[in-house]
Amino acid sequence: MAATDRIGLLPDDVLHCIISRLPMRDAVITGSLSRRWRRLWELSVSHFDFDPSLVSSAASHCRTSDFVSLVHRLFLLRRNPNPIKSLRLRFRLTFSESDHIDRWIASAAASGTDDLDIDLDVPSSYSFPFGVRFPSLKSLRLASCGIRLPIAFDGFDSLSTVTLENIADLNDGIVSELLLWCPWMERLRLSRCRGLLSLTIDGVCHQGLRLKHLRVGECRNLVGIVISAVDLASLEYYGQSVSFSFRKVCRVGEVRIDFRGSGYGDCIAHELEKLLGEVPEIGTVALWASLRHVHEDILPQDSVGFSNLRQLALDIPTRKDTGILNMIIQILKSAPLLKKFQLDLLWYSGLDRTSTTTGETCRPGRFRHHHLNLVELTGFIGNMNEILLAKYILQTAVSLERMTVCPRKRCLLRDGKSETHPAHLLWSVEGRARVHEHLTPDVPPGAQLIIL
Amino acid sequence: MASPSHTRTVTLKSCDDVEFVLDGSVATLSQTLVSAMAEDSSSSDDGTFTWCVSNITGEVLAKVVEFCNKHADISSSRGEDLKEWDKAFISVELDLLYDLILAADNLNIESLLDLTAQRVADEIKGKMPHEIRMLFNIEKDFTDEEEREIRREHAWAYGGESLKSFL
Repeated sequence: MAATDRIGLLPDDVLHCIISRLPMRDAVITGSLSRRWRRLWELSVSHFDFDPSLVSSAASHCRTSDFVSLVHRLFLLRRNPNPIKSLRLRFRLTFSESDHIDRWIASAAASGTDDLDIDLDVPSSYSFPFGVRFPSLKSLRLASCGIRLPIAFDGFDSLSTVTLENIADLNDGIVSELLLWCPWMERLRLSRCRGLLSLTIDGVCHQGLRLKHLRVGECRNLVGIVISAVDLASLEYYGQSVSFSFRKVCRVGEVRIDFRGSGYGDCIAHELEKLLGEVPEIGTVALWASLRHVHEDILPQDSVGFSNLRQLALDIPTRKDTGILNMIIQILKSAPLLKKFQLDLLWYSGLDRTSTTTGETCRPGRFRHHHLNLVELTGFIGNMNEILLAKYILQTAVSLERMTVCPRKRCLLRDGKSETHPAHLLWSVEGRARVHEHLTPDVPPGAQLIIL
Repeated sequence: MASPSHTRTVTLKSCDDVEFVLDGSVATLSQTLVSAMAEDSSSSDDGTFTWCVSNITGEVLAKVVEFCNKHADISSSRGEDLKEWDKAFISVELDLLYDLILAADNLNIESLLDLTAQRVADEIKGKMPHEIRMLFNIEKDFTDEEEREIRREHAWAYGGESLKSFL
């Protein structure tokens, strides 16, 4: 018995509803399924996605004009009233195509689009039309174009997510204006904006600020970030080291700071100390930086602590300096509720045979970690300092479930090219044997030690 | 005229005479029921209302009722949990999926129509026409020449695939 074509029996409005959820390419393809489907998509396609693949077969000199005419054709084919739910434009367009881009954006605005993504690929002097009204725009991404707010900028009432990338003329003032006039903005991402010298999120002057998630990366001239935002829940930063100042960020649960882009910086301990002092309620912290020197006198004091910290990821080099080992242990002690600890170590030289640590710090003493149950130590090659740290954790973490020790570097934030070598190639015979010998006797009952 | 107030209960009767009793607040997810209750003048004083869904079987209606009960329950209708629940709920065979779409359309339950339409859209995404036809038993009723013409019109959508390869 031939199976029946039940989907073809569904009413037109249901099929429209289905096609309207498809990306543009998939929607267009439905036109060649059968006569039943032939023209349905023209009435229902709602997500428009224009990228170079549309004209990949065209000769390079006519690609731009082909692209422009293809966009026009697809926009013209669209029969009202199907709305443009999203418009994504990713193509190398220049100022001379401004009129076209403006027209496409105006169509999207008039149709009540809620998602716009304009990426001109290489920096262009085209300026996004901030004077156009977007009654229902929720998400806006602009990349490689200009930004100029009109004097009478009315803002976008429903905008909640803004991503700005490679916008050379973006500055602190424009960010403040956007936050002020887009009162529902909850998520802001800024990257590769070289005109941004400082960033101030000022929830004191701007009482209605709702910003919850801030992500800043690779703005190479940025020197400092000042944040007062009562609703801020997460902060992510990557790039050269900058100074942070946190005021009134009492709800922030997650902070990820990655200074690795700068080569080295001595501020990781300093930033930790500031976070301790300024945001004691913080739940997750991930800090990455390369250090040359760590001194015990910049360690956080025992008197303050991460009273709410549940998860901590650190990228810290291990060297002969005892300061680093002491610092890590002090940080652990200051976080009594810590459950998950990930430490990514850097090494510069071969295996050390001896411990240089003589201090009391890594003796377990009476202190116990009652909540710490997952520990991952990566970039761990069997140096005595690393072994002492692992032993300290095994002896104090009474609820430990699993400790993983791996010589491979792990990039936790933006996974890089670090996991290229299998673990077993990175161990020296001596190092692995030493880890086994020293750690196995200390594994508490119920816990698992995994040496990769 | 009766109003679809929360104190009423609604009895839904499938085409094979299976009955489901819904709380009035649950029934308001269906625009069809809301309109019917608003227009209904014959309802009894005890606040019950009966509605026969002529083309939906008990098996399908049971799923619809399960969906409505879950989505009307405000305490459970939050964020990620509900998304997970929806995902499990909609993992059904295509035949049942069509029945659910028809039921959602018939009873005009927007959230169920959204969920079912999205499931079908997810099945279509990323597939080539012949794969979609095979999945849904769609018969190609074009001549090869017609199909070639349609593909030529939007050649970019068919990617690197040669226009000849399926003709």
